[in-house]
Amino acid sequence: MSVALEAHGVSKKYGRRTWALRDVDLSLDRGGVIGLVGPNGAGKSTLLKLWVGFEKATRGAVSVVGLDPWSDRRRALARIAYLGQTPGLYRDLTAANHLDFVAHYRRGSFDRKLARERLEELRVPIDRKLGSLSGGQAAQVGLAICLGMRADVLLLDEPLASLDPLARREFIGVLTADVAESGATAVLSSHNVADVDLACSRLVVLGIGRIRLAGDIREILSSHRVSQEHAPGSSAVARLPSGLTLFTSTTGSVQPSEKPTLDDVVLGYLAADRRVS
Amino acid sequence: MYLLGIWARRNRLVVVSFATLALLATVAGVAYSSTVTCASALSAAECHRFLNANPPSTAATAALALLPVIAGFFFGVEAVAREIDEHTVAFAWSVAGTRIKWLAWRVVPGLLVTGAIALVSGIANAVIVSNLNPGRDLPNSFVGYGLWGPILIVRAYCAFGVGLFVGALSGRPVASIVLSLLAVTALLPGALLIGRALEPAQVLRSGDPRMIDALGVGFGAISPDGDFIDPVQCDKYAPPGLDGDGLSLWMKDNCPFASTALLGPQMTSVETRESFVLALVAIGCAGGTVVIVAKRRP
Repeated sequence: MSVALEAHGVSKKYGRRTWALRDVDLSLDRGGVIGLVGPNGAGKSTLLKLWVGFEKATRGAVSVVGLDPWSDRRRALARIAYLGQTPGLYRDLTAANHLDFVAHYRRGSFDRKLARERLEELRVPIDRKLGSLSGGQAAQVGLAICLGMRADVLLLDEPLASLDPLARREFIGVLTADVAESGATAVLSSHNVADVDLACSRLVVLGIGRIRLAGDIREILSSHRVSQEHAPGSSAVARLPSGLTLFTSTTGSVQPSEKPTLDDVVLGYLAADRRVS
Repeated sequence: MYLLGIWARRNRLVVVSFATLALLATVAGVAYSSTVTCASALSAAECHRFLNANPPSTAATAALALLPVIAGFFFGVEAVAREIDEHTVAFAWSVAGTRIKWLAWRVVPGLLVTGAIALVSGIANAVIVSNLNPGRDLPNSFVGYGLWGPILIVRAYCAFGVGLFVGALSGRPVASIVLSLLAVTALLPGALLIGRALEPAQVLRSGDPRMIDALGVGFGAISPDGDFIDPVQCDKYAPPGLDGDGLSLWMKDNCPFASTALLGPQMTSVETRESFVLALVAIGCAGGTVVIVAKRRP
């Protein structure tokens, strides 16, 4: 399977002292939706911005389908669809205007019909100015545009934050179906582990600028356990708020106790980070 | 063409406002300057002063001279700073592929509108200034210098360039307008100074008929030796023993007031040089903006 997104020894510093990312090594194979989870300030948005070519790494290198998004921006951007934390759409234009806008720049690749269909599926009024739509509807317009771009890589920076629970489900449904159909790779950054659990097959946990955990969600769940006590032959990750301790199996033969939820695992790593910081 | 339509939709109100102001000032200025005439008893110089003292015409002339510069500021700042301020650049840059392509879309319509406003203002003011100065050959005269003609287009584009650059640098529209205004306020007189710096000035005695078309650059007196001097130095030439009223009378007769001035036919070269300086600033600002946009964080 070829690689969609890579980061090799990537560090990013803002100003003189603030490190947003430190020595990040990551390689994400093509296909599927990948959840990018971490607390505020963990470096999720920075990593996405490095991949979209909005930022330059202080150290190390990133690539998108083998292209450097900073030095080879034009070719890399042709393969990327990006939806920012605030969708950044024009308040005084309608969704239909936006489709025309994108169609102008991405003449060959933008599937306006598909984007329009997705907007209809999500029940977003196409002829109303975005300034009169809710934040959630604006995010849905952003998603429809990203899907219409038929890009190899979709980078979605917390698009679910402004959506109500039902709209989140619809958004995830549309995203996963399209990604499965097109074979694209989507990175979905989110605070909400339940959404990631629902949408993603793979997970990356970022904490204080470093990768804490990355892999297939099923494998992650099967390699972790929770119990009241520290189990022999395993390493403890963190004490969870539920009173249980999260373990990683080091021998593969440990049977300490129950299977954790994805929430337990993510929480365990973030709690461990908090103790360290 | 399609993006031009989107630009027009986003800036409809401002474009209509500028166009309306330009139209009103043109109609008012041209109509009024066509109706006022000098009494036949007035000399050319008196007629010139009389007509230029007509407030409605002069107000329209001033408005038409300023409007292109203000439009330049506005559309220049709007092009990049507004998008940064409204956080739309991340979407636009990720879609556009190259930021230069995006910048071209942001800049070209604003340049066209600014140019059109400057062109209309330049022509309208040429008519008004011509009406107010009957018998003057405007291309060979400093009468109404800077109020009419192509210099208005160059000034407007200079303001556009400065607004564009400052806007891209700061990303704040209001602050950019204020900063650009300060920069251009310093720049315009500076460009005029450079424009006239290399032109040789002539000494014209008070009452010289060429003075009406000339641009005065200095004031003094002509000494009994024929040199151009500061009037207060004339007493050095006076016979000993003269003072008070006697000295004043002697100075009046022997050191007539004079000006150093650029003659009317020198207008074109002054204007060309001034335009060149302003155009250089505009091009420099455009180049700076390209670099900033290419490197800037959205």
